[in-house]
Amino acid sequence: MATIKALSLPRALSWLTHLSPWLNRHGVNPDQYQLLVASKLTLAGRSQASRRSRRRPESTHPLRNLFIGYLIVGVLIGLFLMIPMNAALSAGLLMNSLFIMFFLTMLTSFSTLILDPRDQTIFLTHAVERKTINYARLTVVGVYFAVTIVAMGLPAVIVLAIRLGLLTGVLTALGIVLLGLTTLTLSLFLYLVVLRFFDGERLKNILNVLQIVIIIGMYVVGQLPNLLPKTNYSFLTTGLDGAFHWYYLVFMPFWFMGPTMMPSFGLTTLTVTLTALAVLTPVVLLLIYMHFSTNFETYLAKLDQSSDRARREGWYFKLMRRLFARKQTAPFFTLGWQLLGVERDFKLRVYPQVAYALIVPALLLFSFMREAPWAMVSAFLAYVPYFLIMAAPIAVINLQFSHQPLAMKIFTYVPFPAAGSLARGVVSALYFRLLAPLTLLLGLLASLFTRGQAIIPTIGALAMTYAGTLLIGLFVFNRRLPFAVAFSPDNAKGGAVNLVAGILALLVVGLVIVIGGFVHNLFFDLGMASFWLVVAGVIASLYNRPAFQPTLSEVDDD
Amino acid sequence: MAVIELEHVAKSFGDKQVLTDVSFAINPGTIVGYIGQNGAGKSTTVKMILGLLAPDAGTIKVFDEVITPQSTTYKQRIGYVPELADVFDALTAREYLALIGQLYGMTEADAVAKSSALMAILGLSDAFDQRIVSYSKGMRQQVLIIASLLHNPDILFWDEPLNGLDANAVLIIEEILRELRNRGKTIFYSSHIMDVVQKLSDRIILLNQGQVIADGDFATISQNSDTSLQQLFNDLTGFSEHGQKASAFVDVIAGGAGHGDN
Repeated sequence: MATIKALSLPRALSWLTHLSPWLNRHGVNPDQYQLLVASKLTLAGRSQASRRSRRRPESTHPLRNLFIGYLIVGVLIGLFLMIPMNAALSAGLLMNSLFIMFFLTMLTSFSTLILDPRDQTIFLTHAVERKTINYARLTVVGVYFAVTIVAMGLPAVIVLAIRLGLLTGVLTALGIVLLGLTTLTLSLFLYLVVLRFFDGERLKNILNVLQIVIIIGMYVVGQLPNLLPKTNYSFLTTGLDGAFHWYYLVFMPFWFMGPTMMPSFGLTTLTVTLTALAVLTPVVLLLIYMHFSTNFETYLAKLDQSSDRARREGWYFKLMRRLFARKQTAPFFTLGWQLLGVERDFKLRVYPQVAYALIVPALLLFSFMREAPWAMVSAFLAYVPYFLIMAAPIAVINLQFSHQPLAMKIFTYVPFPAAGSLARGVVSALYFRLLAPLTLLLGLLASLFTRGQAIIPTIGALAMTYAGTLLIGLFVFNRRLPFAVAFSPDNAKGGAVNLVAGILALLVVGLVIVIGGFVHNLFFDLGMASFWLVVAGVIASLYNRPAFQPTLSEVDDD
Repeated sequence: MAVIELEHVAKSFGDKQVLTDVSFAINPGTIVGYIGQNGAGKSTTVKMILGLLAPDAGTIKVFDEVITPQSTTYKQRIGYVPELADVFDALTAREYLALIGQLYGMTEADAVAKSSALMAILGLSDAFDQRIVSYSKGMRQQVLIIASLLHNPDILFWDEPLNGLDANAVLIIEEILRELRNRGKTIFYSSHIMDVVQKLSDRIILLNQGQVIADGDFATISQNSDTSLQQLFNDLTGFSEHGQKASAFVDVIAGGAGHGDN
C-alpha cells in the first residue's frame, strides 16, 4: 500500500529549504517555518466545496485556479495596451490599473490568509515563536500574491515587449514586481495599524468598514475623470508625455512607470526620479514592516477577544417592521435585519457593489449629459433614484450565504408552516435596511438639484426597487433558505442569476430614465409609481403560494 | 520545587477586571482542578501561563522561568487542550497530528506512528485519514487530547477536556490522567463537571471574582465535612438560589408570572 504523506512543501517551493541559515540568523526556526508554510498552503488550497469531502482530499490546484482567474484580467489589460500609445501613457495606465487590482485583491481575497487568529491559538501554544509564524504567513501571502502579479502583469509585459522592445518589457516586469511589493507591504501596514488601535468585535467591524471604504474609494477615484470637464482631465492623455509634471510625484502608482519609460525617454530627471522612488519605496516599507512584524502577531490575538456590546433595535427598524412586515413575516424580517447587521462578508461583498452600481451609471449619465443644457439635465436627473435597482441582484444573491449556515438548521425542527414568509421577511429586511434608504438619499439629492421634480420619481424608484428585489428573491429562494450556505471564494461572483438580473435591471432602468427624461410629466411619474406599487404587491403575494416552498435540504449538514 | 508559580497576577480587558490577585504554586506529579463560575478567569489564567496573553501585574513562572510573551522554550514541555476546539479542520487527523508532532521536534514518521497508535487505542483508526471537519464533537476533542500528549510533555493544561466525550471516553480519559500523574506529570485542568473534579483532583483551586477563594485537597477545603464539591462550590461562591431560579424558570415556561427582566 502506498504511504500517505502528511504535509510537505510543494516542489515549486522546495528552494525555501535553502533559506534555513538566513532564517536562523533572523530568529526564525526553519523547520517550523517550512511546516507552517506547507500547512497554510494546504489549508488555503482546500476550498469550502472540497472541505465537504469526508475522505482524504484529492490533490487540489488552488494556485492554478487563481492564476487562470487573474490571467483573464491580465489579458484584458494587455489587449488595452495594444492601442498605440507612447511608453509613458502605456505605463501610466498599466500601473494605475494594476495598483487598483493588487490592492483590491489584498483587501478582499487574501484577507483571510492574513488575518487568521487560529495561528495564535494553535501555533503559539505549540512552541512556535511569533516571528516564525509571521514569516510563514508572509511567505504564504507572498506566494499567492506572486501568482497574482504574474497572472495580471505578464500579458502586459509581453504586449509592451512586442510594441516597444524587449528591454521595455523586462523593465516593465521589474516595475510591476516593485509595485506588487509596495502594495503588499502597504496592505500589511494598514492591517497592522488597525490591529494596533482596536479590540475584539470593534476591531473586526473597523477592518470590515476599512475594506469597504477603500474599495468604494478606489471605484470612485477611478471614475473621477468622468466628473471633470473634458479640458481639465486632458492631462491624463496628453500629459503623460515624458515631461516632468507635479502629479507624477503625488500619485504613487505613477512612480512605477519609471523603469518602463527609460528605454524610450532615456535617463531624464523624471525617469531617474520615478525609478528611484519605485525601488526605494518597497525596500524601505519592507524593512520597516519587518521591524514591526512580531507586533502583528501580538495584535492579531485581539481578533479572538470577545467584547461585543449589547445591541438595541433602532427606531427606523421598529417603524419599518410595524409598517411593512405582517404578523407571519415579522419574525423573519427581524432575523434578516439582525443577521445583515453582523454578516461582515455580506457587507464586504455587497456594499462596494452597491456603491459601484450607483457610481458608474450615475457618472455615465453625468458624462453623457455634460454638454447638455441644464433644463435637459434636470429632467433626466429626476430619474436617477431608479438606478438603485442595479444593486438589488448582488444583494439578494448574497442573502443565501452566512458565516454560520448551520444555524439555519433550527428550521428543520421548529414548527415552520410558511417557508415563503421566511424568504419574504428576509428579502424585505434587505430592502428596508439597505436599498430603500439609499434610494431615498438619491431621491433627496436629486430633488435638491431639480427643485422637487424628483419627488414622485423617487416614490416610483422605491416601488420598482422593491418589486425587483422581491422578484429576484422569488427566484433565488424558490428552492433554498436564506443564510444556509457558507461564504466561500467559489460563490463570490453571483453566477448567472446575477448576470441575467443585472442585464434586465439595466434595460428596465434605462428605458424608464430615457422615456422619463424625454416625456417628463406628472402623469408619467404617477403612472410609473402606481404601476410598480401594483407589481410589488403582486410579487409579494407570490411568496404565499403553496408552490413556493423553500426546501430545508439546502442547509449545510454535517 | 514548584513547576508552575503565579504571584499576584492581575488581568483586565478594557474596563472589565478579570483577575484581581491570583497566586498559587503547583508541584510536579499533581492533578490540579481549577474551577470557578463562567467568566471567573480560568481560561484567562491558562492563556497567560501559555504566553498567549500578558498579565497586567504579577509574575508567572513555569519550570522556574519567568514567562513573557516572547518565552517559547518551556512550551516544548507543555501540552494544551483549549476550551474552544481551535483546530485546522480542513486537515485530516494524520496531517494535523503530524504537523503538531513536528512542531515539537518529532520526525514525521514518529509523529504519524505515535498518533496512529493513539487513535487506534481510542477507536478512531477509521477516521485517521478523514478531514477533521467531518468529525463529531467528541472525536474532535480526542484529536486535541492526542495532540496535547504526542510529545510526552511534563505539564498538561486541559481546559474542559471532557467536552463532548461519551461516557466510555470520559472513563478512559480519567484513567489516562491518573496514569500520567502516577508517572510524574503535572495536570492542570479546568472543568464545570464537579463530581469529576472531586474524584480526580489531588488539589482544587477555586476562583471567584478574579481571586482564589479556596485552595487545597478536597478534604481540606471541605473541612472534612460530608459535603460534595458541587455544594461546596455553591456555598463558597455565595450561590444558593438554584431552587428559586429553577422554579421561576419553569413558571415562565408554563405561562405563569414572568420573573425575567425586560
